[in-house]
Formats: sequence, structure tokens, C-alpha cells
Amino acid sequence: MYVFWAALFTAILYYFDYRKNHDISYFTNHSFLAWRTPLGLFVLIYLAIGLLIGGGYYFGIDIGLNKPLPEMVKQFFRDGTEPPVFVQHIVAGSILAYTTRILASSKAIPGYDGTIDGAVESLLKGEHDEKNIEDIRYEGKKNHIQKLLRQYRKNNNQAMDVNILVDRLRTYLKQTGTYNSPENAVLLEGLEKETNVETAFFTLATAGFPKRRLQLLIK
Amino acid sequence: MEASISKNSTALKVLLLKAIYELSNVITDPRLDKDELLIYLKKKYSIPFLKSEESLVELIDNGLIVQSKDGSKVGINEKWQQTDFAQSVLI
Repeated sequence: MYVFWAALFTAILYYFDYRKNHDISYFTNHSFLAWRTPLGLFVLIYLAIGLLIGGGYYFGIDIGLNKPLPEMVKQFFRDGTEPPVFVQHIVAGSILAYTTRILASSKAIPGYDGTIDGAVESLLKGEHDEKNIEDIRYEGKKNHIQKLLRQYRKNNNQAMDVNILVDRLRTYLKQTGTYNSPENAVLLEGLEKETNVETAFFTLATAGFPKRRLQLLIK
Repeated sequence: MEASISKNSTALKVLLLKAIYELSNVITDPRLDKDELLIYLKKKYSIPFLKSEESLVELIDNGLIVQSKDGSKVGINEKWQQTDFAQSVLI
């Protein structure tokens, strides 16, 4: 039951976050709703379980998880009047929700942008200087790009080249409706001039093209 | 291969244009303070002023960005799609 309330409260907290920011990209980029990250996935599963238990509870199906608060917590209320189980659930749920939200949002880890890269980077920041982070980021990108290129070669029996990449990028941008924007024109123009496909991918990644979308271009 | 933004002119130009969207409500009019843009890029991506400035000049030359008469404010050219640059890229 706690999980149900937690899920509900988390949803409400996020609604207020959304109201404050007025930007749907804030949601998908900077929160645990960036669900492809391990943290986001965890929260998603947790929300699903919460809703399942909550739904079950109200329809009278006890799947064995609707336990009241543990003894230790009950001790706290022992001498006074114990609040109804319902209230206990709400309190516990809201605490859980708020903790999750803080942990999942950028507030818990400074500089965390909701991505795995971001998490590693912000955790490393304390111990390493900027140069090292730059190196790690560089290596990470390089490995990822090389993996993508190998994947393409395996699937298509030919190596990726700049022309294929630019073609695919054009198609992708047309599909997403962002083809006619100046920054994408600059991107296409820059990529067309490249001769090395790996460098072209690097330019894409450096220009802020997300990893997940790079993957789409390879498929 | 260059993963550093300030050394990758294409990436730098893309981020500069995106920064204009982020900083300015009215983008198709030269209303964004140029210094504000340069400081933003410096703070967010540690791009040296000189590099941002070079990139800005290039975008102005290409006709994607317009600047106010005194050169202190910038914005995106409303008719950028009609420039030679855009014509050569957009198919």
C-alpha cells in the first residue's frame, strides 16, 4: 500500500514540477521519466507495482502486500491514539515519494542530467579534475560510436560511410519535423564536409545529439 | 576526432543556435544581447569567447543569424531558408 501512495504522491509532485517548468522536455530529459536510465526504469517498475497493489486493494483483491506498518514504526504511536492504517499508509507513502523524487531529480546529485553519462560524470567530479572527465567522456563516446559502426557493418555487410549517415539523418529529421531548422541545416552542412564517418559521428555527439538517437541512425 | 566543442566548428554552431532558442523568447528578431549569448556558452560549455565570436561571425556570413545595427544584439534570420547556405543543404 505504501508503494501505491508513493506512486500517487510522486505523480502529484511531478505534476507541480511540470507546472513550474512549462516544458515537456524538462520532463523527459531531466527527470526519472527519462526512463531509459536504470533509475528511470526502476521508478517505472515501482510505479507499476504501486498502481497494481493500489488497484487490487480497492477492488478487494489482497495479493499479500497490503500489510500495515511494521511494529517498529507502530511503537512510535503506541502511547497515543494510533492513527488509522489508512493515514499511516499516506504518511509513509508521501515520505517514500518525496525521497524518491529528490533522489531521482537533479537535486540529489549536482550536475546530474538524468543520463548515465551525467550520473557517472557528476559522481566522478568530486575526485577528478575537468581534464579527466573530458577524457572519460571522450573515451565513452568513442567506444559507443565504434560499437555502433561495428553493429552497422554486421547488419548490412558493408561499412557505414558519411553519405549513408547524412541520408539517414535527413530522413530522421524529416520524420521528426525538425528538418527545417537552422541548427539542423548547419549540422547537415558540417557533416557533408566530413570524410571520416567516425569523425562525423563525433560531431553529432558533440553537438548534443543523444546517444539513443545515434542508435536509431544505425538501425 | 574532436570531442571538445570549441574545436568542433559544426558542433559549436549548432549549440550556439540552440542557445539562442534557450535565451530568447523572440528569436527571429535581433533582440538577444550578444554578450549574454557568449557568457552563456562560456558558462555552460566552457567555450572561449573568441571561439563563440568566430562561430557567430560565420553564421552571420551564412545569413542564418542577423544582428542589430550596432552589432550588440543578435537573432535568427527570419528568412534563413532563402539563403544560399540553406538552399545548398535543404533538399
